[in-house]
Amino acid sequence: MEISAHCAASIDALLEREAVEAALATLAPLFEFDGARERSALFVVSSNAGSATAMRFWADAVRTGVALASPELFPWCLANAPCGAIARRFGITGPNFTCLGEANALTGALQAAADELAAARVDVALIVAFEFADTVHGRAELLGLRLGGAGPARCLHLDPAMIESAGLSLRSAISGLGKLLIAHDPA
Amino acid sequence: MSEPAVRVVITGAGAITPLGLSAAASWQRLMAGDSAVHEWPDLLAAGYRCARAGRIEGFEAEPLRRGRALAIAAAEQAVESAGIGLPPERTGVFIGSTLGESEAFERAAEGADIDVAGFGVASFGEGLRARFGLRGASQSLATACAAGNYAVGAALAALRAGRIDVALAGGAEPFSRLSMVGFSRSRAMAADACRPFDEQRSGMLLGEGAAMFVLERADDALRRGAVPLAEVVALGLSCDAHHPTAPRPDGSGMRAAMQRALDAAGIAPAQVDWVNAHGTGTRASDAAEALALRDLFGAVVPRVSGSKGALGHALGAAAAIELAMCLEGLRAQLVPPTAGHDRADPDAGVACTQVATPARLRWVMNNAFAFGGLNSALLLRAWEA
Repeated sequence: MEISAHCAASIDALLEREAVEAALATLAPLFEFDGARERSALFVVSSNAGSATAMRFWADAVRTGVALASPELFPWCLANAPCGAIARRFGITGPNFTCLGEANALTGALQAAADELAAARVDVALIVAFEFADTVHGRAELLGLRLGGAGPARCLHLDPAMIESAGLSLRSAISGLGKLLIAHDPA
Repeated sequence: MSEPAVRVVITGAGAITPLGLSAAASWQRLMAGDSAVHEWPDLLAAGYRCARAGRIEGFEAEPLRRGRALAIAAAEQAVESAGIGLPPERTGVFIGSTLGESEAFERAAEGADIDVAGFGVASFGEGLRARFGLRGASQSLATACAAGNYAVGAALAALRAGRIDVALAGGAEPFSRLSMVGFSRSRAMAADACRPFDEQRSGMLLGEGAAMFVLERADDALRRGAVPLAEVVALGLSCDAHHPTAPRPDGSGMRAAMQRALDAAGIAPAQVDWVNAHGTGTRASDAAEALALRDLFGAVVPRVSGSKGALGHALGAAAAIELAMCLEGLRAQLVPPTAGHDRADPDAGVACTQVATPARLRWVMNNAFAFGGLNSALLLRAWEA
């Protein structure tokens, strides 16, 4: 499959909402394409979206009592909140997927994106792999890919099989794939 | 544009719901107009403002793995009813949910030594793969209250692409104290009952459960002598890109998802015989869905029913559970009553079924929407060779 744009970032943020807000500037070039937003699909892939906020929300609820739990935090307990926020920021009104898992989830998202494009249900597919901070890793890691939406001159070829190594964590896949893409497309 | 010619059918279904421990048992109580939603003493004692919910009684599971156990139990029913031996390398697993094992997150936040990494939505799929010894494709879709439709749609795509021969697909959601508190604090919970599209509606009430399905290409199913329960024809998706929790008030995003399903199936709105509405019973969501239905279908809206008044809202399992009810309705050629819907909201302008209604059912649309602005509409067709 052909990658027409990509981006990567490492983000110092503990909760999903902060990480997504900090990532928007990095993601912006991915969304600079001609074409209808309703003909664009957005995929967010993560192994832990929602986990940090769910833990914070419940810890706060236990501390304050359930009647005073934070209503602002709750929507970010849902793993699909990052995908919804990115769609809102960039006006993507086509299909909106949140796929959970490790590197296999990224492979699955790439295949699903290819299905959407092949069936001509969309013209552009945007894939954002987003690993949020957890108790082991203090930073969020991000990799964004765009399939379609640009001429072939800048396209890079990606074989999903190369990230399908058994047992590979999504964090490792983000790091490895990011380096690979930068090495092949220093611009 | 119509979907490709590869036809995909559901050949097995299983469900564990607050109304019953199988799809058939749940259907019987749904048709009788029962509701499984009631007040729970343990929630009252814990200080919950809203202590009413639809919880499953008579289903025992290790609390930290209740979601996975529900998914497995529903899948076992589905596999048995399909009468199929699952090919390990060629069976895909597609599961939708919201939070995963909420209890694990709650206990960890309370200080228990639990690594929550093993309790997310993906753990449901891993459990299913382990239970049936499967090594084919797997997708875990965390698309909140629309997740069941998404999972079945992903299975449909993988079968059509030829990546797998059989799919286990559906949704699971264990009861979640975290969600009870979250929705209550978001002022989305009903004071007494969930009343879809009713003029007195005041919000949703939570449920739990699971429904799983066996899907195959129609040719493969017929070759092995299976009798399809229904054909899965198209999934229409859209995103409101509007608000973290509220739908677009004009219903345009919901309408777009329904329209895309119709376009993909190559049928006109007038061909739809029954819409199983998302129908959460909240003022905003039902109003938007009603607008979307009236805008899409015009003066003649098909029969509309909703089951969250009877089942509660099972979040990531809701669409799958309601799909199981759609299959029962197709089989019986009956549209179920809408528990809690006594008097249609004149502003919404959509009247739901109030009694079990015999009908010639060929095309059925299963709507499911979610926080984040996600909209989905799954189109089923009664099986016709």
